[in-house]
Amino acid sequence: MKEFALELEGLAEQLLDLLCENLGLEKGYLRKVFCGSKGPTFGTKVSNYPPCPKPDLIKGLRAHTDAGGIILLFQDDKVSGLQLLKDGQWIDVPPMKHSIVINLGDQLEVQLFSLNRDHYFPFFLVAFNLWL
Amino acid sequence: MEQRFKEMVASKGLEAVQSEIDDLDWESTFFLRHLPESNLAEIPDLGEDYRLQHLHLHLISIFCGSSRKRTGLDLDE
Repeated sequence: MKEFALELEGLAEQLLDLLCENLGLEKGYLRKVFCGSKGPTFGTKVSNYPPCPKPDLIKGLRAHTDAGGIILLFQDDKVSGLQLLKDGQWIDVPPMKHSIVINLGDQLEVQLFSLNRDHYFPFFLVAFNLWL
Repeated sequence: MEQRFKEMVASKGLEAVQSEIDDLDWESTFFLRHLPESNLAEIPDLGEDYRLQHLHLHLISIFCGSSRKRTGLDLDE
């Protein structure tokens, strides 16, 4: 698990650096933003959605935005359920084997928005996929 | 545990519900923190009992809020 976490941390940092490159920021800028005196806060959330006897009465996970920085989401590779909101429409994110859904969290969105108030990049509002 | 969870919710919750529940998720989850690493193991002269007690109180503070008023416990003791 520790090895897996280290790899994920490296991947998240690479993705933040790609964002930096696209935005014309120095390498490591966004990583530093999320580092306190003891480095970044980083963890793994494991979620299970058991079969529901009355699925029309409750959602697995209600509509939300992710609160943190950058989120690497490993979906079930067979069962769908994830949706994203784009232009007022909920769109299914199909399960794809060997892929990670990358979400930009609220804190990252605030950072990026504050960096460039005149250009609110539309990709902030959607998730995008990374195929490995 | 999953079966017990489903039975409990089905008998006490969803059975009586007529309209959609919008303040709960049908999700079972846990969170494992990787960073920053806890320094509890580095503190010398700390017995196993104290570590377990500390963990116990930490969990109580997470579930109940760290307020002493809510938990009725002095977490520093």
